[in-house]
Amino acid sequence: MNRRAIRLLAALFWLAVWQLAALLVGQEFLLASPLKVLASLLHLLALPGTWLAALRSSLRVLLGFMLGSLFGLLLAAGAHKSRWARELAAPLVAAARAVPVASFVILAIILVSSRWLSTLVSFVIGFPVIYLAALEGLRGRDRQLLEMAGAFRVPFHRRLLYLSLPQLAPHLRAGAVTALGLCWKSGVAAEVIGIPRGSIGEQLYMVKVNYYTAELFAWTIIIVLLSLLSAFLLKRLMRALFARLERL
Amino acid sequence: MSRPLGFERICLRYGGQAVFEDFSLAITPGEAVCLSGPSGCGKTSLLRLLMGLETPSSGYVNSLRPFSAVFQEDRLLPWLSAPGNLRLVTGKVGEAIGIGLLLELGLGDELSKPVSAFSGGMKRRVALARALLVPAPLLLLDEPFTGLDPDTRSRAAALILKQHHGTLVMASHDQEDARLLGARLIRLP
Repeated sequence: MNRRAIRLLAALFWLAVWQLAALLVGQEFLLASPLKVLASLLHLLALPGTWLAALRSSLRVLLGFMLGSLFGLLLAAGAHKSRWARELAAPLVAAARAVPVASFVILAIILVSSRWLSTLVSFVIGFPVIYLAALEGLRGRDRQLLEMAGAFRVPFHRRLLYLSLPQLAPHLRAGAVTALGLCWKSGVAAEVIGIPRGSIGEQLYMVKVNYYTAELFAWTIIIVLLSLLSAFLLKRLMRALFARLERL
Repeated sequence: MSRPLGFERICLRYGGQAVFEDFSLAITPGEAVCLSGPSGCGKTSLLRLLMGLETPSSGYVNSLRPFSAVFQEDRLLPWLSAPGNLRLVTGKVGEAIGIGLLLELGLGDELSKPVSAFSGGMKRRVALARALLVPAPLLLLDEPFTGLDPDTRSRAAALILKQHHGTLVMASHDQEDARLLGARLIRLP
């Protein structure tokens, strides 16, 4: 039996366990069955509001991720160059990694509109991941190649394109995919607390207070699909970008 | 008065162990010199001193700038092709000349492959082409013919003599390399 068939069987097994558990519990508001969730998902997908909410939340989370990535990269470049910058960045990165999302959201809701809460939270959650990945990549560059580039007086832009970026790429790819997943989780959590109008977070909040468990599962599936889709597109984009840079 | 090219009473230590004590060597501009001796005698260290990558604990090193070099290791970017590796040091400006050098070194059929797929001798030839592509008054070669068969070695030596007209300092354990390049042999203890 090939790997794909084994995976399919594993998925079917857990769906069967879920269905059985739903039958045993016997109350839809406590545990909705997979079939009920599928029906709810199809119903949601037929509503324009679902797509709009998905679009709004995606844009906010992705904006936070992009700004966080840019900030993380710049901070890593500075920290790699200067010990002072590294020491200065250390408490900021440590705080961003340690402070619980809920505490940060409650603090942030006082400072920014609930509409931009998920962007701010995605930024704060995403930048340390990119910072650490980029810093590790910069430190891991081949010293002999850097020495060679110095001896041949290779200008900065060519060092960056031909030498540094290809060595940084695996670190950045892994870091970006991890950061994006975290941004989705924390961004949606921030929306549930801040409840911006027309967002996925608002929808989740509504189904929670009304005990629409099937819809809660359906929205969760939508969030997971959005997260997977954005990670897939990000990987494709980065692969194309690095391949293009290497051909320059 | 300016100091002559070379080393003046240098001392060099690694971890408390002296590699050179009061070592001096004068090199006439335009001359070819081959530093020869057994492994670990300090040939590479002298080249690194001339490159400015090491500093003696005492004494003077007088080198020329800019220089071009073949390092002890190939130091090629494995993900790039041979022309890509040359493009790193010269940009697109020197691409045609670089490809000409690669052709002369017998790498004409390998231009599109990444150098990670190359044998040791092929990588050495790319490193040599890179060094010859960069015009400099001083050429530093650290075991430049490692992994080359006798024919390719002769062809590579002829190319070095054709392309480089300045000072040449080479490190080699093989005295035949000095003969091929008409270099003055300096035996290190």
